[in-house]
Amino acid sequence: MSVTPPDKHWWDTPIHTKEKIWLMTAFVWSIVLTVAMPALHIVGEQNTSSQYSRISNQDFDTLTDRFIEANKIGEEKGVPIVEPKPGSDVYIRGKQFGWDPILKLKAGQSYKLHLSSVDVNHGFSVFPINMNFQAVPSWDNLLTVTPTKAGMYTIICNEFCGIGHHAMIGKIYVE
Amino acid sequence: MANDHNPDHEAHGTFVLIMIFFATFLIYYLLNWKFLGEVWKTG
Amino acid sequence: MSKFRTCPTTGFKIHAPAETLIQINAVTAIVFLLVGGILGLLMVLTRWQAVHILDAEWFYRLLTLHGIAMLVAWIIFFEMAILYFASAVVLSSRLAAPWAGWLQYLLMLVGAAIVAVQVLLGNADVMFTSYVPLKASHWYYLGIILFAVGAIVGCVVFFATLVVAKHEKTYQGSIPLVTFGAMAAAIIAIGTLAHGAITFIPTWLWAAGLIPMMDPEVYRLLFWGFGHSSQQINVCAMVAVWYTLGTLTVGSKPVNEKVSRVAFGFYILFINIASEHHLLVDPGLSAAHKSWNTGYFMHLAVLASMIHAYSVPAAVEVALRKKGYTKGTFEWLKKAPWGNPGFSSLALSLVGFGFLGGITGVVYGTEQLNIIAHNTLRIPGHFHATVVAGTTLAFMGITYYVLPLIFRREVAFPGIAKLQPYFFGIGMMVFSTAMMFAGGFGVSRRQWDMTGVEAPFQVNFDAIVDLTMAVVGISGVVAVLGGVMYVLVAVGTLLIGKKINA
Ligand code: HEM
Ligand SMILES: [Cu+2]
Ligand SMILES: [Cu+2]
Repeated sequence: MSVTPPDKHWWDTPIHTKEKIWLMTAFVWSIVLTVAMPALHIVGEQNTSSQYSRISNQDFDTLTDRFIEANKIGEEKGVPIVEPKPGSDVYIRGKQFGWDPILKLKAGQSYKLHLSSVDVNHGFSVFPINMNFQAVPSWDNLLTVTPTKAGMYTIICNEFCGIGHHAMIGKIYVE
Repeated sequence: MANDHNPDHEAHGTFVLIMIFFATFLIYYLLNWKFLGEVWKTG
Repeated sequence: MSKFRTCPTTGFKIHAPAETLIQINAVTAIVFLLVGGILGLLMVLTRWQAVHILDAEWFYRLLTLHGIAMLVAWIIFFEMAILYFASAVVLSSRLAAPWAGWLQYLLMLVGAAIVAVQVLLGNADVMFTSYVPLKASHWYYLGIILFAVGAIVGCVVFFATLVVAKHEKTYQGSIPLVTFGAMAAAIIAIGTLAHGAITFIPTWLWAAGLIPMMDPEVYRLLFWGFGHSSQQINVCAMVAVWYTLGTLTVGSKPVNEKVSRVAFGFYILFINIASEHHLLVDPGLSAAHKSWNTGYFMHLAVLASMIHAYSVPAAVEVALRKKGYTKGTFEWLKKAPWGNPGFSSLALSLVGFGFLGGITGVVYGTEQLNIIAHNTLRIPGHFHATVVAGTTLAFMGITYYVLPLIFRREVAFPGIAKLQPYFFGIGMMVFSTAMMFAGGFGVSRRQWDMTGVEAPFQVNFDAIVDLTMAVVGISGVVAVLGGVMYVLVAVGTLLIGKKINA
């Protein structure tokens, strides 16, 4: 019984064959699950960032402003639209309750995307492809991204950031 | 399979159930790698 | 020895102060479950966009409270009852220092009350994670700290009782498996709560204006060292309850004590370190670090769960086969006591936790796969499968035995009790699955509105997503109904249940 002390020889009780088979299966599976992560860093094309760095909110703000100034091509609903050169550094700023700027990217080209927030935590979720990254104040989450398909994407904030959280939606155009 | 017929240990049904569990696990795991392969390249 | 009575069913000698503390913690837990359940209903009827009953401010406010009332108050008060049960009752021992048990209860109650009041006053719209720089009033953090200190006191009473029982020789040989599992839970709890202290004490002082703010990423790391490890307390407690229910419902005996105990040991050794799976798409941790942390260590804890996933049903199968249900592969399963709410809770809890919660947890916690899961509805879908369809349902199941054994009353409304696990368990499984499905399309968690009505840009989800959110709504209501049935039976038993004289 599980609520009474075990038999004296509980430590020596042999393991039943079927249970042994399961234990071995589960153990091997755990190893596969573990090895998969480093392996996919080598052969996979979708990985998380390890190129992060610390940055003050002020510096990130300044860098984003400069980036917008240099690449601005228009505006939509008061949010600047920028068209950066492929391969260049691109900034996305989360701020209660909006993402700016709006990016215009080229499919098949890669960009160095700097993602951060200048106030509280925000969540960077690209709809409809469903890719998610965390925007943390005072940290630059740097991702090398290559959009694959042309189209219009929205950025949904998926980290609670205050009562206006659900109004925090940005945009990316890929052509 | 020495102690398989020992009534103290007979758990054939559980073994079948756990294998169904394992198959489900495998399918869902692989399916999600497939979904991941469809998003933008990133790293 | 007048403070003891002997239980006529189990033969345990039950110490009166232990019994009282079990009763009061369990009743308080159920009150919080009721509160949290009403809030859950409001949550689900708001996320279902076609109904959308709360406004944004109250949705976020009450979501904070739902998380705390459930994950913190209901679960931990109930676990305190389990700790006292697994030590004093199962070992037929006196409870060490009953006054400390009362201290545990009062600290936790006062802490929970402070937190609830602060949230309702609108002073803590920060979710239970309270990621800095979001800031609540300093009272909120103080409430959490008091609650945690209370829980530590409870763990200390548990360990002291184990020592007393050993010293006074109230049992022979090794401690029973259930006590062993509870001990694993209590060991993890101590480590976890230490993490809680280094997270919340500086945050409290910051909110009071005394020290500068912690780095937001460091906060996230420390918070999850506490927040995730504490889920392992729940897993341990749940598995201990599974073994208990197996014994109480069909008289099962662990198939291999060694294997089960080693698996509990894995939980203790490996889970704390796996907490970084909450930070997989964050800046601040290198890929090598993430892979190592969530790989090796997490999967040894996962291995432990996979071991129990076999040994719990195997024990049940062996017991039922001994009763003569030996035909074919599944006669034992067909002839199992499905009308006993203790048994159906056990079975549904195993399926909900293992198939839905366990598999999805491993998948979403895989470094790269987290990119398509982080902070979407897949996450609350996953943990409503683990901590609700799994842990909460297991705790409900054991209640049907705690009522006669500890409250000494026959379970009232047996007809309702019989159906309750099915409403709650199946409702919750459908609810979780539907949330995970919607999350796969990019529906966000913790979001009052998913269409962008108040935003500059709109989001147009597939019609299938709207349909899925309706399924979330309906199944959520069914689960809440199952919760109401549980509270009805429990409270009904306390008020009008026939007294059992012993
Ligand atoms: C009885 C039925 C229940 C229903 C209908 C329900 C419903 C919900 C809903 C709709 C959400 C919001 C999801 C989101 O928008 O992110 C939620 C969040 C949550 N629920 Fe439940 N729930 C129930 C029971 C429970 C129980 C028993 C627990 C814990 C033991 C629990 C723990 C949580 C937690 C921790 C959150 C997350 C809060 C946050 O994101 O900060 N729920 N629940
Ligand atoms: Cu935001
Ligand atoms: Cu937000």
